[in-house]
Amino acid sequence: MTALKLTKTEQGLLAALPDGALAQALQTKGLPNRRVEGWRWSDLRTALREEKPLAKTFDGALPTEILSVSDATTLIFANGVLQTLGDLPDGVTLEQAGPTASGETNLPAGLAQSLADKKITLSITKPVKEKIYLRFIAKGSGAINTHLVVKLSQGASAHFVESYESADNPFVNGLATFDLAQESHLTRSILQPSAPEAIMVQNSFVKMAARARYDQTLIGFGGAYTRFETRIDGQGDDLTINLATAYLLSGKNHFDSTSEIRHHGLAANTEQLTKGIVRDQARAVFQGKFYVARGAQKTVANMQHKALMLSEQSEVDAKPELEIYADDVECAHGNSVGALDPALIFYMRQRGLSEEQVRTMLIGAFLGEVLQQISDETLRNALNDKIANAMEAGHEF
Amino acid sequence: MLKIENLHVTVGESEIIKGLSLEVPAGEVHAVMGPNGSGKSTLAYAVAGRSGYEVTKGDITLNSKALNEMSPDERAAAGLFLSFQSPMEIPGVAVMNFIRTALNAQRKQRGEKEISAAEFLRFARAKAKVVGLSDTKLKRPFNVGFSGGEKKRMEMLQMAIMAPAFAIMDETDSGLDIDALKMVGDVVNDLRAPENGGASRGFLVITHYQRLLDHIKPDRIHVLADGRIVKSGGPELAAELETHGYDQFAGEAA
Repeated sequence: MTALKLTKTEQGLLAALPDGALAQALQTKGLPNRRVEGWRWSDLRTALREEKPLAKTFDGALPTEILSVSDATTLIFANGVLQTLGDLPDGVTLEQAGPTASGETNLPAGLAQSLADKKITLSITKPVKEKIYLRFIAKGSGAINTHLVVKLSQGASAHFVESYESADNPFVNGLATFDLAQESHLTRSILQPSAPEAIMVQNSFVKMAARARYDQTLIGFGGAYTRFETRIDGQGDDLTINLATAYLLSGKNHFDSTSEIRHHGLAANTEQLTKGIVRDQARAVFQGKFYVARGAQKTVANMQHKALMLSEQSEVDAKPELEIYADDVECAHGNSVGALDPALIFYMRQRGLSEEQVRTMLIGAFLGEVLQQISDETLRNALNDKIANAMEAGHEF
Repeated sequence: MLKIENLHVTVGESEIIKGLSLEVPAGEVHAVMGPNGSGKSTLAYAVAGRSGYEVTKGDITLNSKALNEMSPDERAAAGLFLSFQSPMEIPGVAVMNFIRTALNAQRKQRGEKEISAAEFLRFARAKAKVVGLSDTKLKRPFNVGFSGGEKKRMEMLQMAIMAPAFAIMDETDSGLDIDALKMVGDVVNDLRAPENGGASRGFLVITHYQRLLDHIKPDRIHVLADGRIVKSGGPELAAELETHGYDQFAGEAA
């Protein structure tokens, strides 16, 4: 086998990695690129043509909160480093350890494990009412790695609000693993504001024991390259899984939502809804896969992806996949890509609404279904405002 | 009031309206009748400013204001209302929210004060009773899952609420039963009443049949054939058309 010619970025990463399987994988395969299954539409290697040395310490004042989250404890990661933290709610503990050697075969995830400043472990041992707001703030042009480990004990519950805010042109690479014990319930509400020059990969690996519940809502505006990958390993019976994603892309932003939900236990109930808007020359990628193992009878799983394209130059690539080995299941997927109906626009304008008002109203209604997944009303309204403001600002979604 | 002079309208490659002139003075109702494909809906869309209905020649004015260069929403703010032959559904947008937002957009453009949610609700509920739409329907997404008849009632609700200076009703009667036809008549006649400003309001009623005109008494009837008005007359013309059909105009249109 001829050795791969590594890019500058890859060479830099290789030098930073300890010897081992990950370094070897990087050396032989390079960063994930269009020739690799699952990365065809989101070529990380090309996106990282320019070298990204490890980022320097965050410099200057932190930006003001982009999301006002009431009744929450805030943890701020600035260029990957956890800032001083206040009191944690009762039932939550946090540990910091050095980076771990990685056995990951997923390259970005492995890099995050190996190169993160610290491995941060959050343990949640009981139902926690207070929300936990994680702000990941990045700036500059370096590589930023974070590694978060979240463990929910039996019967524990928590609501994470997360924002991924990137200024300038960094490479932000995060790995978060979630271990949900029996009857635990994790809610994640995630906002990713537009970052037209930033490159970001966020991996979420979720493991679920019996009767656990995982609710994730993601509102993404994309960036030079943005990829959210969610992998759920449903081990126990009677799981509840809700994934709701809304994307609003403008300019040349790229947003990739990739997920794989593996059902191994009985009678899981999975709902996945992704709705998005692309305009200008933006590009959305949706890859969703449901795997249902032979023994996972009575699984009910529904995957829907609907996109609206508002310009000729925008692009939506979608790959919904079902891989089912059990015979007594209800699994469905739907995928549609369309445009706003000119006849409807005319109808609404005839009633007195301007073209912009019509678009705002129709897009808001289209995405409303995703926001409905957020039961916390204040938070839902705050995220709704983000969308409305973005639309009012016109092209600057 | 509404004045159309030598109007030519092209849709795609074909000219559909071929030199049409029509004037509806304030306070009057005129009906436009004609066979299928004669250009009735094209006329309605062109006056309302739908894109793809290109006015290649001629002028449309409402109260001496030129409409030709206005966007559809500017025309709406100028007082023009079109009751659609096939009303649209708006998924995810509640009936009341849509109508109130649209009404306020018009008012704002005219420099009028916006109507409050509470005031609007009272007013809209009263009008909904007249057109026969229940409160539950008003809370639903606009027209979604409504029957054809309910959608026509929704058109009449909007017309009653917006009380436009000039309304074009494009086959509002199609698909309606006798009771619903009477309701359409009630809405129009209420808007025509002098105490409701009827003297400065006009209507253009597009229809195939005489039966709607039993409820809305037109001042004039125009027969449209092949993109032109081929005959105009008083209300008695409707009965004549009902008896003899449109064939008599085939020669004149050719």
